[in-house]
Amino acid sequence: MDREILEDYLPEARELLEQAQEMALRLEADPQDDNILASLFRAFHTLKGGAGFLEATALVDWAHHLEDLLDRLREHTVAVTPAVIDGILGGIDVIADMLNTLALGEEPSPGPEELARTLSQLAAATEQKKTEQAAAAPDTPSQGVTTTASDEISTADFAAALGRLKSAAPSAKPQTTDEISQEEFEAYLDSLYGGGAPGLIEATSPSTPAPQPSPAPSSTIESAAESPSRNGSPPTQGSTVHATPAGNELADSTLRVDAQRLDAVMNQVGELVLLRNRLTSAAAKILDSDEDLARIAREMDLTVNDLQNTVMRLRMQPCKRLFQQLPRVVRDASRQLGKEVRLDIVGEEVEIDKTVVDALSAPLTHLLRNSLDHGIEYPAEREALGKPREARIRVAAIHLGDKVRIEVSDDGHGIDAQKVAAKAVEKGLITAEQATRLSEQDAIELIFRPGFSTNDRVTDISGRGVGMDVVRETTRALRGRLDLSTRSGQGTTVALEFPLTLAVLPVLYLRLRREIYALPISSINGLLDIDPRRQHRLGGQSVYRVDSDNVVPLVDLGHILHQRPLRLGAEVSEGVLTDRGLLLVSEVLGTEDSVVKALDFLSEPNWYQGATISGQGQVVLILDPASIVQKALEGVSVPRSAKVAT
Amino acid sequence: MDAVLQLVDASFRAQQDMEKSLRDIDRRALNAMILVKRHGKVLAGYGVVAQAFRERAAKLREAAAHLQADIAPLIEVQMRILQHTRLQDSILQMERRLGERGSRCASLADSRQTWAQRIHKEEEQAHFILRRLLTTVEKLLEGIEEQEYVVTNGRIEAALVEAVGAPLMRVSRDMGEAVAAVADAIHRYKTQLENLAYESRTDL
Repeated sequence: MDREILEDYLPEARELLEQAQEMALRLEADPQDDNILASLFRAFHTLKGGAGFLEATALVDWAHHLEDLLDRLREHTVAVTPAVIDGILGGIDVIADMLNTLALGEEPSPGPEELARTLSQLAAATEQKKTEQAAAAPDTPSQGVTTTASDEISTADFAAALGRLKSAAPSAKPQTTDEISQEEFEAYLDSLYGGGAPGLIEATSPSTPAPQPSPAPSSTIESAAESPSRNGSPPTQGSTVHATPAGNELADSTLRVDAQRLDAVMNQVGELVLLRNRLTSAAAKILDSDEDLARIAREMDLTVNDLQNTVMRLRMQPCKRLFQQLPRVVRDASRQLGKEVRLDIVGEEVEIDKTVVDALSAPLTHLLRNSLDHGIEYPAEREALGKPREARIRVAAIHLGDKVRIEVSDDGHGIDAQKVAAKAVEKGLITAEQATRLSEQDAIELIFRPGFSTNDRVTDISGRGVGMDVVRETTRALRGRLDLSTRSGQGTTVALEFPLTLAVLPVLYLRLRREIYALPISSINGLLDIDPRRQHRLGGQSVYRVDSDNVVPLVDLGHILHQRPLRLGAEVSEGVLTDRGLLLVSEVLGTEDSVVKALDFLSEPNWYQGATISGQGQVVLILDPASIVQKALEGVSVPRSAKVAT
Repeated sequence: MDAVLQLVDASFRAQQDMEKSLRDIDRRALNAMILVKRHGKVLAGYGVVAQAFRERAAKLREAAAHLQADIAPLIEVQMRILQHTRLQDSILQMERRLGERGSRCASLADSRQTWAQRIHKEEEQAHFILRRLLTTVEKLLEGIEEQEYVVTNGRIEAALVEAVGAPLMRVSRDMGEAVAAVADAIHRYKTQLENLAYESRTDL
């Protein structure tokens, strides 16, 4: 197996599979759309061609099975039913597994026989139907029909045909390399399949009238970015697979780069940013006396900023990549649960750092599965409640300044705080005494505790008590923020906010007595002059009255980090107002763009996001305000509960 | 004596006021920079203003520190002048008492003369420090004018990016108020210094 070809093939094949899955779901929603079918054909056809070059026969066979089935669909001799779509999606999963095996340098196994049989039966059923139709109407021409068994070729035939193609190419068009064009490749594949591979029949070819599609699927996928059913325009996904002029232009203007190389560039720019900070800091001491140096320092600052922004953009990816798996999740889970769900996706074009896109795939799936299993009611139940039978789940990406907000909301029955608290007591996560003292929001947030689940029985969808804590931990690891809001009978919204980029972290340096720390600017709402008269005690916790209608927890960083509280009035102190509370520090020093270095050696959980090197050349710890406030609040509640327990 | 005590009081008050107001300016500038950072590149223009505001605030703090550095020597010199004037007065009284008895001590007259010269030198030194203080105060006021200019630029910039929705107009207004507070403190201190210069024997 040629490793180089494999490395080129795998990412493209995975993209094709993702597109194929999306198209399969769209086909289910719009079974009459021949363009979608054509695109789907083309995706498997291209997949098969590449697999042929790699001599991955199992993969070729599976792509071929699917082509067969799709071929029958193209003939409109069979309807697009949920069972057919299940077969196609199952086939996609098998091919995805095979690609993973190929990535390991191993030969894929033939795949599940049962599914292969199902696909064959679906195709065979069509064959039978065609025969019946032919008998009933002998004058009807049978067009575009290709056999399934006879178009298989052996590896030897394939190599011989490839040799013929290569030897023929120079006479047709002089070439300096042994590469073949897309057209030649397509022609070659056509020749292999006897003048037309399955699925390469013209979309406009007349065909037998299609039977009526089966009942509507249980889930509907609606994308705000592109909604073919709404605007009637053909889908565009297939165009990237086709060798259309537009596709060529796109190919010419884009370049596939190994993510590791991008990471290396990002790390180097990070080092450059740190060096810039140190130079700026050092130069500031002599700038007044040297105008030239001051100008050079300013220009370098701007250039490094530009470079940093450019590299940041290189790592940005549209949320579409993150969202494209969701329709399948909703479809499969809703069918399994017997619920009717419409999925609305908004903001696919919003871009976010690649690391976030990569890391958020599983948490988003968890959120959706939780919504489907716990939040959404059964259709009959919804009707009884006066709600539409079809529930709605909305997944949205919203660009907010230096952040991206990803919201998952449903119109289900919301979260019952009392039920959650009772379940937490039952599972031993909290004591009954603690449960009575919880606010509604605190009780709801118990769902993020490891091991929590309100489902008594474990299903494929949920109930194992893993998932929501993973969502919270992933959010934290990505320097994000998680908010949950719920309204009884109306639904739940989980909002995840992430910094636009993880390459550079703007921080605020602060002093706590003699030590310097940093706080991410994204978590800071403002800086306050502390007025001791605004400090109060509430339920054993220090709180601060920011203004007439805003009272927040007051967390003394001296107490948390030095085990010695700052003495208000006696020691110089200032307040940093964060999303979670007001942090009391000795002095705020200034802002800087920093590069985060991970603190892998610290035990979890801790209240540091990492470390950085300041412009002064000092190693500075970056605090995690959410963990610190949580620690402070737990510090209040734990002794109290301990006291109750004794 | 009263003048010196008034100077000590005024210096302490001015020091407190300026320290608080300059810290306030710095905090507001930092607040503006945080706001800018949180909005990405959209408010980059205002970021330049906020940065300039903070840099000038740092210069003001530096100038205010020089002011503080001069106040202690001035008080010291004033105390010495007071002490030496008392010594000179007591020698003069001794001379008078001796004169009432019809006797005269030449060394006493000589000593008084020496003290008078010393006091004169100290008064010159106090005069020099006072002039330097007033010059520093003038520089501080110039710095305040520059800050006011930056604040005006900030208001223009805030108006230009009002559509973004960031509360920059309020931030600019807060900055303006903080600058006005420092300006007030410095003007009050300048008046105190001028009063001292007028009331003291030091002829400016």
